[in-house]
Amino acid sequence: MTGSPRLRRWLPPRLWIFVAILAMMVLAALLAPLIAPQNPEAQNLLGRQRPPGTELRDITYLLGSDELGRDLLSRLIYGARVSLTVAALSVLVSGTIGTALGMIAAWLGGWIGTIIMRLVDIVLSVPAILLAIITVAILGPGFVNVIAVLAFTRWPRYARVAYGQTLGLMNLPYVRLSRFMGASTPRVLLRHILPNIIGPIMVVVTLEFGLMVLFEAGLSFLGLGVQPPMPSWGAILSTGRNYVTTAWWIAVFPGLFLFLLILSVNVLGDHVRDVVEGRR
Amino acid sequence: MSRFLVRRLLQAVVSILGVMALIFFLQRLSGDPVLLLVSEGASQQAIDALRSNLGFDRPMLVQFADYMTDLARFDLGQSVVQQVPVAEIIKSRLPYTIWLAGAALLLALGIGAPLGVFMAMRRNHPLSKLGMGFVLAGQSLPTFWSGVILILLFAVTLGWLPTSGARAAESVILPAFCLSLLSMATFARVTRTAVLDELSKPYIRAARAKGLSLGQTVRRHALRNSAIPVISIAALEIANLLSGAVIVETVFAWPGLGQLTIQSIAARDFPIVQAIVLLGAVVSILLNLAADLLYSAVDPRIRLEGRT
Repeated sequence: MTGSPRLRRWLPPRLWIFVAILAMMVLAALLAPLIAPQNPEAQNLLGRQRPPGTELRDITYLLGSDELGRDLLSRLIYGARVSLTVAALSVLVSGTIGTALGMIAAWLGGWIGTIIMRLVDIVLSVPAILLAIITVAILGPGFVNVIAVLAFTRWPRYARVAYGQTLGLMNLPYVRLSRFMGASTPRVLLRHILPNIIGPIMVVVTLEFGLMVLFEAGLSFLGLGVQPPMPSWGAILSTGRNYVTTAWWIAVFPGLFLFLLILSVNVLGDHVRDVVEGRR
Repeated sequence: MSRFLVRRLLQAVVSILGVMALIFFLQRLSGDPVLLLVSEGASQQAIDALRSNLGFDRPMLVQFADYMTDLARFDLGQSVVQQVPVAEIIKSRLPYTIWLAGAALLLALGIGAPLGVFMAMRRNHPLSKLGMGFVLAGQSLPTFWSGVILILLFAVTLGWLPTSGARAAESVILPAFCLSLLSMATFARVTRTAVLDELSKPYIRAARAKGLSLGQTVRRHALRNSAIPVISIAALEIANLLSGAVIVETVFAWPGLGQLTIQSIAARDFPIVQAIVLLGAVVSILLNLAADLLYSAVDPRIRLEGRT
């Protein structure tokens, strides 16, 4: 593509590799049924634990096969779906709830505001992974529950930012004018406050997204996340651990994918933060 | 005692009480808490017996008051599966987690801080570039993957160290190193920033101008002042190491609290899970408090204005 100075400034070349990795993962997730070479759940008892590159009849196991003879690459491509969907949905849910509660707490103040912000402090004071684990232990594992748990554990991060930002905005002349002219509370919050706090909220999103990918994989690794046969990178890695002496690839590749995804999200997130906060 | 100290202590107490309440109500929200405690396929009679036995058939507020008084007496309840006080089980596992997290902290500080100082002093050295790469990677590395890689490399392929368990003294090396990586990266980054901050100050220029070498300046002047943020971060990192232990202990079959948590979830031994989460929350609140107090001890501005 073009190496125009504007593009270079907006997105320096050293970051292109991370954009490429992220784009590939997103494409893999979106187009999984089209690009996965095999059905991710098709077992083949003759082709168990075959090393990467094995050809068996007319099937090539590019990244090898797992303990049930399923094509690892196909499972990892479908796993990208689980990873990105869970992360995106939990960021969306926790971001929406947290932002709304933070704005409401700032706007209403009083005892409602105090209760909301105390709750924020309390939830944030429990180590996130422990809170997630106990909530899963109560709700039970599964795709939807993992999203619910992550949303419940992480909303305070957004609430805290939304609260501070809203407090700073709510007494500005334009907001007071719109209230004076009879705008309803939801209208003021949604039309006048929200558009002006969305930047800092997006910064939290960039911080949280990689963390959510990591948490989903971690919970699935512990057996508390997405349940089999749905392919999650964390769960594949966890099974692979049992075969590490005979079939290293089952554990190594899902972790590598996970690492690359989180790394790309973090590096690009850092960059977005620098741009939003005007450090560049 | 200063007002700041009192306010900060009160906040910590409120947080701890809040966490206790949160866990209590979470458990009730799930529907019937008795179902968390019985094994699968228990008869209705057994469930009912357990319910009245544990007092779950009483009004919610009475239960809550009881639960809080028990906690105030440090009574964490009984393990459902082993029929032993939870406190005893935790006591038997705690030393392992402390040993693991302590070793990890030592590694993280011992390697991370010097690396950070080096990266600040020699910004353009190839090793510094490598160090920045490590900082970046260390923050994105899932411990359950780096753990498997370490096992594959040092235990399976090279055979230098045991794969898992805690039978030999050297068993701690791999899990501690695995657990320390994230904190090591954090220490390297924070130390680098702190030392760079100090090096840009006028007194450093004065020290250099009177003829001290960069090394002498850093050793005699910059290091002491840049230790402040690193020490405060250390308190927070201990909390991270303790909660990171849940996964690392599972990877390496290390018999500490983290492994106990996962085993208790699998065995549906809810009182143990609850106690560990409470313990983790209390420890992390106290460590946060310690970090704040350290800050205020060093920087009087915080004490006078209070932190926001």
